[in-house]
Amino acid sequence: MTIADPSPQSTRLPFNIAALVFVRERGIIVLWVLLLIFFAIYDHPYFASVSNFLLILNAASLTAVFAAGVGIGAISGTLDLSVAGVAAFSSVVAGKLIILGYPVWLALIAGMSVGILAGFVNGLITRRGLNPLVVTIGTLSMLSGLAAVVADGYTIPGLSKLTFMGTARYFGIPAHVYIVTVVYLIGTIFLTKTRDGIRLVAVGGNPEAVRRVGINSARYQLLGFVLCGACSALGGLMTAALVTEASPQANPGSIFEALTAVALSGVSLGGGRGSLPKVFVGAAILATISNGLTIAGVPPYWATVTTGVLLISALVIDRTLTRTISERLVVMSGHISHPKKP
Amino acid sequence: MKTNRNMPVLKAAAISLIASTIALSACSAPATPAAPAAPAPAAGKKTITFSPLALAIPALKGLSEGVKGVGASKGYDVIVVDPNFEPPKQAQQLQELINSGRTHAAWVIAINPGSMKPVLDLAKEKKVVMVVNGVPADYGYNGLQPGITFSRINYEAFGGGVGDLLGQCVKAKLGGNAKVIFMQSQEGAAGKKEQEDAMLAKLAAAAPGAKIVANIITKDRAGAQTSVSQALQANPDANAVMTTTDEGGLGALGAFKAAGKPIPCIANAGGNDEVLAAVKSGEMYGAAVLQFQKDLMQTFDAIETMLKDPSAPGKQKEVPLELIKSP
Repeated sequence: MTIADPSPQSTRLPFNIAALVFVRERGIIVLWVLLLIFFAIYDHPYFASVSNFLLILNAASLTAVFAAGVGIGAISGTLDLSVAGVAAFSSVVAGKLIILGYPVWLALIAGMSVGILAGFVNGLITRRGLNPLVVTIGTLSMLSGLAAVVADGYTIPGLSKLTFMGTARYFGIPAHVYIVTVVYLIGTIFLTKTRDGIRLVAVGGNPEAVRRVGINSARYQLLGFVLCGACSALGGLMTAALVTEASPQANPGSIFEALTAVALSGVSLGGGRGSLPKVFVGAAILATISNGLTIAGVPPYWATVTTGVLLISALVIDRTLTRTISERLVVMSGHISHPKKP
Repeated sequence: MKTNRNMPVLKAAAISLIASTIALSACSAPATPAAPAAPAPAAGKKTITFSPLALAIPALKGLSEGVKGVGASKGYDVIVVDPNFEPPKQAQQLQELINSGRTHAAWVIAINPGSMKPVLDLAKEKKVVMVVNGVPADYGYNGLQPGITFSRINYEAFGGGVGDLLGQCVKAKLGGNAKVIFMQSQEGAAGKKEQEDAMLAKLAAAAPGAKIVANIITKDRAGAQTSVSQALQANPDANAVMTTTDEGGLGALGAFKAAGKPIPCIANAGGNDEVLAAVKSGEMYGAAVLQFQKDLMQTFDAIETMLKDPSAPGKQKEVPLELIKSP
């Protein structure tokens, strides 16, 4: 393999760099398609059906909502680990209000509000220069405890009024799929088409540079926390709607799966790079593996092993590809700056 | 020099290949001997799925091995899934297996019965027979359903038995007065309220002089041991332990031993092998033990009966319970 000798007039990348960029940017979609084909063959005749595909999408939806929050946070340069605590607290607050006889809409607004507030508090504290990981671990602990206090240590059952956004199906498609579609549409438009969204991404890439051009970077990182809190609260409400009860127990699995989906999607955990639709594909990959292995009857431990392998592989591959692309581009720019003499 | 420039590309490609191979080999790795490695069951064989609360619970892991063993001896393929205490995951896994036609029967210890009605409705539609914990009302039904047998754990009796055992110990060994460390289940645990209320009521009835001096939420054995050690700092004269789980009882036993204190009155709910041995040796006074092995056989009987006619109404049964005391 040789490096092409690009002329200064050419705007196209050499093939080998373009291929690496393609693998980094689109590899996750290829991986998902390969997994679907693999399980369609391996689990024949049980896997390849429309109803099973809808189940995969439904299973991916919850992870995808949590992952959207973690992903937006990561893109803005913050990592929020309080996701599970926010979800538990929001669902318990909403559940308590519903049980007390308040209207469902009010309970949902209250649940979302406490999530947004939790994100705001996380952001405010980290603005003082504290490490976001430590701060959000503290918030996770605090909110889990508060959820248990509100629920008096017990689950809050009987939330059948929430089934419209839980087990209900509309035109044969699960309610969660509609919710996640709306979340991802709004999130993608916000990050790519609005001034605040573009600035949020820029802040994640290089907060100091953004600050020097007069943008309040801390404000956008706070916004990242708030959006993460909102997504976490929504995930908690969706979980409560699915099981028709609110559990005060924070589920650490939600943050693990969300982080895996985010890492798989190529979102830079250092901030500044990432695509929300690919985060959904990351969640769909996890759901596909879980579905395929469950139907195959493979011992459940392998699903955990596979998820861990995927997470580490994704990080290693992303790091290697990014470094390789950078090195290639540096070499290429050298060719452009110092073209070969005839 | 060209080779050097290409090294990162080759490295990336190699890592991608290795990662994909590991991931795919993990997907297709052979199962443990008792579990099927290939998705399709042997011709004519029916498949039974077992979905417990979580395989992390030793008693349920042991039960899953029992299900595999009994299933194999009766000519069934057995799939064991692990929802790991996550209700949405449990519903999702079962929907996948039922919807795809992969399983013909399922034994489910539901984490949250209230969320399982869509799964049971799907099973009825697909003629997949089910044995689930609880009673029809837990799942939103008014009565027994075709192809579904309900198996109830009597939490009042389960908890009440523990309270009664501790009361007996307090009267027999401590003269009717005791300072009790009460080790409760985690938030959201199934039957927590019924079980714990019954424990307290029966203890109060059997030994009115027993006083609760510390409440501890039990998450795991190590955590239980640490928490009891801390409780002993505040209540050095505590001399009885009432617990809802094996992990709590064994953790408490370890904490008293580590503190060099006399073994207290301990009454336990659960009954894994280590607890049974502790009761036999006299380190624990007694335990309320769910007889899962007996339940295993009656569950298979129920499944086989229902498989003959999935449209016939199932039954209501109860998990056998036994109270054991040290000799």
